[in-house]
Formats: sequence, C-alpha cells, structure tokens
Amino acid sequence: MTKPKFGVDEDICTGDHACMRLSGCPSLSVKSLNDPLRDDPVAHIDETCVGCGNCGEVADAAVLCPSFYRADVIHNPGKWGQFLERVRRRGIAFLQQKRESRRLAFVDQ
Amino acid sequence: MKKAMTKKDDPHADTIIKLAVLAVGGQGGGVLSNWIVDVAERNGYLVQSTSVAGVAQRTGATIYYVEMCPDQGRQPVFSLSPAQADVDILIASEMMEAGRAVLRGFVTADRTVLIASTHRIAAVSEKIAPGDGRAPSQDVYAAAGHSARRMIAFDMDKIALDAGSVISSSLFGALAGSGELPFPPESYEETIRAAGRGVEASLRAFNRAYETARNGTSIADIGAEQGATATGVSGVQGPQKLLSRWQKLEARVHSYDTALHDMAGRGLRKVVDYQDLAYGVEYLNQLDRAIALEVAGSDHNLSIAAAKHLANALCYDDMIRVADLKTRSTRDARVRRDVGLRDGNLLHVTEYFHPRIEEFCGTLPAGLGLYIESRPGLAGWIDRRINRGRRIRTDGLTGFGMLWLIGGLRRWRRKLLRHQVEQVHLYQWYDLALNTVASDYDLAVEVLNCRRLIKGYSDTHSRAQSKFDRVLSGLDLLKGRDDAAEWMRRLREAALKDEKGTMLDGALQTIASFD
Repeated sequence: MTKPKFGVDEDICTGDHACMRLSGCPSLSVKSLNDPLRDDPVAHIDETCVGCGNCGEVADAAVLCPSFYRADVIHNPGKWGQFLERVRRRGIAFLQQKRESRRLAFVDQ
Repeated sequence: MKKAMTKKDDPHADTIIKLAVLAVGGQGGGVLSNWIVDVAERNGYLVQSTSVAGVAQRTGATIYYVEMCPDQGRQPVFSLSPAQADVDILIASEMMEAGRAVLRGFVTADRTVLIASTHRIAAVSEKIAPGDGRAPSQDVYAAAGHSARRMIAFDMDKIALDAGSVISSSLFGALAGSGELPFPPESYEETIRAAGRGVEASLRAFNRAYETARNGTSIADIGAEQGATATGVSGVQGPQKLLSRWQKLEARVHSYDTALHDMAGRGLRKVVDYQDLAYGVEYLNQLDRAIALEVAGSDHNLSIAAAKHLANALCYDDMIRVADLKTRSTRDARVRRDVGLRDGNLLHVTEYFHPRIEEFCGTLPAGLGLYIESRPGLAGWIDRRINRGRRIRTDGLTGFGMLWLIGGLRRWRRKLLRHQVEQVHLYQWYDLALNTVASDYDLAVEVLNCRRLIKGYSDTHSRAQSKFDRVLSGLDLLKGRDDAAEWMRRLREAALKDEKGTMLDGALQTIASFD
C-alpha cells in the first residue's frame, strides 16, 4: 500500500512563493526559517497534504522550481521490494560517503 | 425608551451559558462542539448546538454556537445564533478568527472569556506576496486582549501536533483548564474516551493544553510562529586538512567586530558549503572591502548587510547546488523524519524537475555555453530534447547517480558559464554599493539590501532580476537627496509586495516626478 505525500526542500526553496500564486492548495503555506541570512519565509507543505500532486504538476508545467518532491511510503513491502531497497540503500550510502568524507560538513542544531 | 435588560437585571440570564466556537473549515470545529455538547449532557445540562459549516481547509470560516443550562425541569428556549455582546465563552481556533470574533462583536469586556490559539493559517493573499505578506499577529492579540474580560491564548496547534493529535483536543483542554464551565475535568476526559478515535493522542493534547490554560499565558508565545529566535551555529566536521584551513578562516571572522561575528560566520559557512574554502577566502576578502569603508557610530550596518547579501549573492541557485542538496545524507534523513518513516516501511522519493536550455548552457563550460546560446537553431534543437518535466526517483540508483554526478560538477563550477555571468552581475552590484558609501552611507546599505529581491528559478529568477534592475535604476534619480535611503527602501518594499511589480511602477513614477 502506498501513501504519497508532497514536500518542499527548505534549502532549495528561495522564498519567492511563485508556487503559491499558481496553486491554490491550502496545505502549501509559508514558514519562517530561523536563519538570519534569509529574510523571506519559504514554502512548506504541512501534514494536511493529501498527496494529490497539484503542486508538483504546477511547478513542473510552469517551470517554477525544483524544490518539490513526492515521498511515497510503502507499507508492508514484499520480499523483492525489501531486497531491492537494501541494494539501493547500500549503493546510495556508498556514493554519499565517498563525497561527504572529502568535504566539510556543517552540523546545525 | 425602555432600556434593554442587561445580564444583571434578568434573573434567569445567569443560568444559560452561551458558547461560540469560531474555527477554520476542516480544523475540527464540529468535533469540538460535539464534545462540548457531550460533556454538558454528561453533567446533566440541557444543550443545543447550531453550526454554520465551512468547507475543508481554509475555504470557509465556520461558527458553532452552543447554549446550555442546568436541567431544572423546565423546557428552555435556546437561541439559534450568537448575538453581539451576548457571548460568555468564545473559542477561536486561530489568531485571525479571534480577530474576526472581536470585529463581529462577540467578544465584549464585560462578560466574554476568549480562548484562542495564537497560531496562524495564512490566507492566500498573505502567501502570494513575493516578500513576507503575513499580517502581524501582535496587533490582533493586543486588541483581543483589550476586548475580552479574560483571555487565554497560546499556540494550541503546536501542542496538538507535538502530541500527534489535532487542534480540537487542545482547544477542549484549554476550555477545561479555563474553569469557565462548571464541569470537572474528568468528565471532559470521559467525553474524549467515548469518541474512541485517537484517544491517547487526544488525551495528551488535552492534558497539555489544560495545564497551560491553568498556569496562565503571555504574549511571548506569539513570537514563535513568525520566526523569532535563530538557531545557533555549531560544529564542523571533516578531514583534518580542510579543518585546519577552515579554522584559519574562522579566526579571520573572529578578528572582526563582535557585531559582525554571527552574520559573517553564517555567511562563511554558507559560502564554503556551497563551493569550497577558496570561495570562502574570496568572500572574506570582499567583505573586508566593506569593513574598511565602515563609518564609526553606524552600528556596523554596512558590514552586516554586506556579510549577509554577499553570501547570498555568491551562493546563487544553480543546477549543481540543487543536485548537491538533494543527494546529501542529511537530506535523506530529514525526509525520512518528516514523513515519520517506521521500520519495515520503504520510502520512494520522486523529484520534480524541469530543465531548460538556459540551465543546460549554464552548466556547460563558458565557451561552449556561449557558443550554443549564440546559435538559436542549435539551442532550439537541444531545448526541444531537454525541455520537459522530469520525475527523477532519487531512491533509485540511476536517478540518484545522475544527480550525484551533477552535484559533483561543483569542482569545475568556476569554469562554467553561469558562474561567469553571476560574478559579473554580483560585482557590478557590490561595487555600486561600495562606491556609494562615500556620498551616502545609508543609501549604500539599502543598495546592498536590494539583493533580497533576487530569488527563484528560471522565469521567476529573470523577473526578479528585472525587478532588481528597475529598483536600482531609481538610484540615479535619488542621488543627492537627504531621504535617498528611505526612498530606496520604499522601492524595494514596493517590489516585494506583488509579483507583477505594479506597486514598484507607482513608486518609480513618484520618484521620477521629483525635481
């Protein structure tokens, strides 16, 4: 069983709110960041999202911004799904480790 | 003229308790009013409730009206809707609903107890402004405080979310904690248990709100939603070679005036994280130019503005940055946390991209990018092949691998077309600001602050850039005036008010009309 939810990457969102001008979704709202470098609030999708995909489609069609993502939670995955997942996670972790071991990481609170 | 009977005159008036709930559609106002009816009936009261329903999710403001009185054997006559100046308890599930209640006259200083949640659900008009269009809650809070006999206001939404429940539970808890209804808290809890759904979470939210209502609240709660305290910066990790070079840069920041430490420190982190330590050196060298021009007794406004906006300008939003951020392990962890992923469940993440020829050329080496851009036929041919919405599964190895490779282009970023273009624009702006310091310090600070206008991707970015250019075009008209800085600030704020820039046009016309 799959349950989709949409999200916005806060650090990729620049706070221009073009997505809200084009999408009427009430779950897509503004959120202040605790960051003195950024003055304007960023887009944020709250827990009332039903996963309809309108925000992503609009951002896509209007070429707005790459901040949107869809997160699908798979409940009760089958054995094959779990196996694939393990393989993928290991591959991804390897690539991430390769890059992150060679650069500085700033750990925020 | 016969005076209308007031509450004090009418001997029967005290026995009817009048309670109104103002909620936003979809918040659970109906659930709350049902619970209130239930708890009243448990305690032997006769109750009537009416409702004006809304539609889910901020498409309607709803109002639920409950009248109750002890069962004395007589059939009471209850009113169907609240009357002005005749409400004993008003529950507002959001700050602006509380304001609406005050406007409608339901909150009066002689009798109304206002129980309100101080969180905001932004209206569409507040969300779509390019800047921060949210109306300040403090004014509403103050007005509501004056209008009510007693006010209990705190962020009930946060309490509900932290407990894993919804706001109707915490509003119910606040009502119980206020002590305005003559019912014991146990009967409230029985009501929640009888509902049978999400009981544990509801009770958690209920109890937390109950305690908060009993212990009193303050205006300090208001600041939380509209972004008050900043998180502190903490540690750096990485290979020792890089750490020692980082520490030298940090030492440079610490050698600045203390007022500058926070902003310059954050700026430096952002810049180094974006590119590399050499970029950090460039940042600090440029910042030194601004610091050298600093004027005594100015509170370091120029340096702080330079630290902030120079960092933002150096870290422009390009494909490499987006790909880098999306492939980090911290991002992975954050998405898993936000979704509440439990063991045994899988997560598939799909990114929504739409690259165009502009982004493509920007990520090519400068010479090649310019070559393609100068040949519209070739550019069009390539554009037709890449200008499409793309859904990339970053939990899969191909999708992730592709983004990982693009993120890796970071080491060659300086040779790419986008970087060259950005550097030219950036230094044009920065030099303009620094050259203005000698004639008008405050104006120079405002020129730096104009950087805030530049944000977004693709078309949004081009429009933002053109707005930025238009705002700065006012600079020549303003030079030499005493209030130049003030006008520059107004131009910028007008630009942030609406997308099309009509307010900006108006402001520019005003300036053009000066002698």
